[in-house]
Amino acid sequence: MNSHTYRFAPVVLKTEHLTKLYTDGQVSALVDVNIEIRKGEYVSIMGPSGSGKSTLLNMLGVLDAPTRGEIYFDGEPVSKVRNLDRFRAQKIGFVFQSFYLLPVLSALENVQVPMFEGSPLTLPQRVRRAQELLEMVGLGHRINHQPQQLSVGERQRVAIARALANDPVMLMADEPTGNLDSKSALGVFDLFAKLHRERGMTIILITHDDDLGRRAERTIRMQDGRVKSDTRSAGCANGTASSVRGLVRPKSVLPPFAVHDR
Amino acid sequence: MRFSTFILRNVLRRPARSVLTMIGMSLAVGAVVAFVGIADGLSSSMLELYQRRGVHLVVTRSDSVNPLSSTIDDRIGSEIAKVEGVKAVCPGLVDVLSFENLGLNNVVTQGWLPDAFMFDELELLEGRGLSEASRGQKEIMLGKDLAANADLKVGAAVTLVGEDFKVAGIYQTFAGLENNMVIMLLEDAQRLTGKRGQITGCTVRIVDATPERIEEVKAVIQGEVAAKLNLQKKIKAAEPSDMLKTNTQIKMVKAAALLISVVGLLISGILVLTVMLMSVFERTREIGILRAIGWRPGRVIRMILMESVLLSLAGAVVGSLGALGLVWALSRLPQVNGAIPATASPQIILTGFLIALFVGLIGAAYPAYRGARLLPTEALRHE
Repeated sequence: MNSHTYRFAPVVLKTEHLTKLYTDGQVSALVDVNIEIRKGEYVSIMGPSGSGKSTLLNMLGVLDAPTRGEIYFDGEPVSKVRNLDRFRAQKIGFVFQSFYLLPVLSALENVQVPMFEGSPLTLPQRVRRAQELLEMVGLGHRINHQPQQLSVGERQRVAIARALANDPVMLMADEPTGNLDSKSALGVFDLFAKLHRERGMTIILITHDDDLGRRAERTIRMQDGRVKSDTRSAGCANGTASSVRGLVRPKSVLPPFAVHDR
Repeated sequence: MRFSTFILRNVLRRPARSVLTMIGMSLAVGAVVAFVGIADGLSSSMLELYQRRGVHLVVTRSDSVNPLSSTIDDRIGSEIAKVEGVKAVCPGLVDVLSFENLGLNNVVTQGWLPDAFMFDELELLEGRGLSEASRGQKEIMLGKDLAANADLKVGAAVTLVGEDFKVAGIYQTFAGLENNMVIMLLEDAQRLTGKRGQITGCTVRIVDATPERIEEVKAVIQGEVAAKLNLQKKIKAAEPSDMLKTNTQIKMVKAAALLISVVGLLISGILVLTVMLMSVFERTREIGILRAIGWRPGRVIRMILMESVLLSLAGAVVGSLGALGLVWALSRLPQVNGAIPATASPQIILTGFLIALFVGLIGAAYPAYRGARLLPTEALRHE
């Protein structure tokens, strides 16, 4: 996909003068960050530790409020959103470095945890959707396994399926391969690429890994709380513009996201 | 997956801790059910002694701590009988005697007149009852449990305070309390206990006993009848339920039951608080994740409260069953004299469950608040 494509896609996320000071007011974690992310973009945020990339992701994911500045989601200021929890539940899927699956639940049950909030589905529909998501991440045969019975790579796939449970607008991942061996990491990145390519998913991820970071189409480099560079690397991800607009929507009781992928 | 399944999984995650918490809660609920049950059973079985016999008023001494061990002039019986509206009066003397030759101490003994209506509810199992013909014959009747414990049959000889008595009959009644008693004629009881001319009190039946009529008779007994015998302000006529309410011994049993319950509940409340707080701290990061993926604080609160209530109610089930077993075992002890019914009432068990629910909710309130207050970013940093 070529970066120019996105000039025509709507802006989903936009920050204006985003600034975050930590409690003592001295340390600036973010300074005047102005970025725009369009629908269907695949963005990696890179930078050394302490550069403010996690803080930026927390702000973009509405997990934390900025000290100054504003974030616009689909043109609406986030500071005006009444129920941020519901907002997160419905719009954003999170993937964490340490997976954070609940150890007492099977893979199938873990995927259903976000559905307790903000899902219109009935119980059997939830189970079916969770199953479809697990099949999509390649774990259709391990749905009843507990997290500790799965490899780390498989656990992260379950976590990705969980992030997609409520059919979010975008996926945010904080070092999603940080705890994975290189083979599993590649698998997870392939999965992100597939989500992006085939479903037009907007993806923002933080990574240390230059090789993996370069697989995204756009790289924002952070340093000392500021955006150091924001580059689009044409032709790295091999999706097509049509995937953004012309999503395949097979017959399903489930919302558009529940695509059978076999 | 239902939310309830999720709750159950969380509780089962630490089986040892959950079981211990449940046991703690079951001990508290069990203590409440058993002790309150015993106290209530005691007072209701005493109340039944009067109610089944249609007793409307009980006349006892009012100026002593324990009306059962103080006495009144026995002429009061015939005076009350003369009061308008009184159907029948039954004067009685209660005391505790020992069967010296059998080594049985503290046997409750009742002395009644031969024609007393109190005899009506005794069902004769063997031998015959006491009557006018028993006067001077030194005859007694035994409750069936007492007869069985002492291994006494009709016709057996018994020594009471140096006098030889003969067992004329063995009876049973609806009230467990009475199946452990000795019944004899009033005159024999007065002689044996050295209380000649004295009775413990009277039970009174009233004709057409409306509340107003009962009040009238009560006033006459406490007024004119008392004055005639020079007992002004020394006797009290009360309905059986009121009498039991002011009975010091029952009050003490109830106070002890209440104390045990309160202490038990405080301990179990603190136990729940500690366990749930520990559980929330342990799951700081996990709760942070739930918040990050969109759980409202309210759902975190519900999760913690429901886990706690599940543990508490499981404790209540075990505790109630344990208490029923304990009450049953206690009721079988000969020392208890049948004063405790073999089961606790459904209301008390329901109370036990409500208390468990309440303690579960209160104990988990602060942990739930702490859990709900966790910020996702703070929790995620907790690595």
